[in-house]
Amino acid sequence: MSAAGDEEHLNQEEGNVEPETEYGIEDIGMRYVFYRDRKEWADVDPVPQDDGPNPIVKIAYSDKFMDVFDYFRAVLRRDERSERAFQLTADAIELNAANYTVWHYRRVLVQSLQKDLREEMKYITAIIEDQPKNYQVWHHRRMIVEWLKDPSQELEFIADILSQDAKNYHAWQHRQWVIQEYKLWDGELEYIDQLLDEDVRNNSAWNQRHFVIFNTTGYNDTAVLEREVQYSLKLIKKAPHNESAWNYLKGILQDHCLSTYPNLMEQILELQQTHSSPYLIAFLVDMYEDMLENVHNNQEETLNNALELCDLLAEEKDNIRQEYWKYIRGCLKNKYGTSEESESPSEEH
Amino acid sequence: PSLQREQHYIYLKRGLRHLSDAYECLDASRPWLCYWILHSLELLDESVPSSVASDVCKFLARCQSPSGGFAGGPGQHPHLAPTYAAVNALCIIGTEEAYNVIDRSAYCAASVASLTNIITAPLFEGTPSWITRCQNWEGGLGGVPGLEAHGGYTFCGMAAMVILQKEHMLDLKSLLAPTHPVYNICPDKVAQAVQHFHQMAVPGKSGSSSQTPNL
Repeated sequence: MSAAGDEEHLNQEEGNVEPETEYGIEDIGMRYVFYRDRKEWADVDPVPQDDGPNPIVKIAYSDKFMDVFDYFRAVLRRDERSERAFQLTADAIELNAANYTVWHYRRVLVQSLQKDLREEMKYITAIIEDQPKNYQVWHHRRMIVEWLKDPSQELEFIADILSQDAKNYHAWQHRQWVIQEYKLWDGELEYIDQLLDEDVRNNSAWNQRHFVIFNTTGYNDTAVLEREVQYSLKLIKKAPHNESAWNYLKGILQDHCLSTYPNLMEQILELQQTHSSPYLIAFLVDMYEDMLENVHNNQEETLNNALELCDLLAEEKDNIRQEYWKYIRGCLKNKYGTSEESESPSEEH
Repeated sequence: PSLQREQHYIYLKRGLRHLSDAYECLDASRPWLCYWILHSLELLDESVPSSVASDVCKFLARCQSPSGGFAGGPGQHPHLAPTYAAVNALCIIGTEEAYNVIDRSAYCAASVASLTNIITAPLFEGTPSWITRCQNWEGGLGGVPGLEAHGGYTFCGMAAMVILQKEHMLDLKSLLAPTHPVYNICPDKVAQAVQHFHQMAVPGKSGSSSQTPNL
């Protein structure tokens, strides 16, 4: 994946040839030529890095790395706007795709030289495929999309990246930006259904589901909310120990009075018989807490139910979070218990 | 298993001077390398010889941009992330030479501003409400509004809010909800952790705050 111009600099006779190459091109008798040996760069004095006399965190750069960046620094210093400088940025990026200074300069050149943005799109597509977890490459892509005013390739491209890693945070960020900026909401819910079908535990997909619905129909539409509640319960039945599904259910109901949502308590208690999990029990605690807050009969019974479940979670079902459940238990007792029973919510940790 | 302090010390001490070519990918993050190493040494209670400390100051000074802020390395453009790292590294060193490196032109993130005591209300006016928009349906914080809750961003967002004394604007209850064992600790513990990290008092429920930042 070398820059377009690299082939010109792989030749057989030039001086100062390095016996060991880094790119396996020995087989065809080609050698990489350092910038310092390229005739067409003879007019430029390379600028060595100024780390000072007693450097810190000094990296043992390869010869190739130092050579490329010595020339990049030179080009940057003289603000050279040329095709050769543009190709140099590709070499620099290949050596360190996280050098944001190089990326910035490349964009300056793209604009200065009025480079073909479609070609640049092909370039960045290839780079991202190779290094999909780098911040700079995604930012660069976003700039190209903005300049082109053309998001038409984005959803398919991002889907391809996500097919390799369904949770790539950069990919999701780019996807949300494109969808929101260019109003590409159509079809996204179907895409999420497909992802959740492939992996019901993909929290990124659950997050995207919330993002789409929140920004389109919203959750205040009772039909939408019921559809999503049933969707979540269906997937919970499929995989009961799926934290994401339970978090989503809680997330969508938290502003809609958890405890009084029609039929929910019954459905959850029924689920508890066959598809119990620490998440289900935690959800019940949340429901009881909501009841204590908003429904003012049977307080004592509700409180006891909640406290019992906290104990169950702390001692057995979710033991790793016992400190948290003890804390919650204490908070509930303090807030809703009768005054003789109140205790300090936080014990010695 | 016990912490291999001696091995870590040797590793860090060497890294502070020399790193292999495997670190070429971090060539735009050298202040981070300084910070990670110095912070680790500090946690191990290992002192940094004054000549080394001075060399760190001089190197970071070369990473500073005339227009303000620090870059990932000498000759690169300034950037918030290495600025954060450089300022923190210099604060760990804590000598007069170190503090002199930070011009008042330091480009500010909340923690940088807080450490150098130049937080002013207009500078961060929109910041708390933007951060609250990053809190999502899961209770944690994403990198930008809409994104999935993420451990790193939750820490940074929460820490920034604490520094700006606006943590009450977040829904702390859902932030601490059991979505991840990492979060399943009492709110007081979160406050304590942030306090230790930023070495400043967090106004707690108990009301014990010795040094509040100079606002």
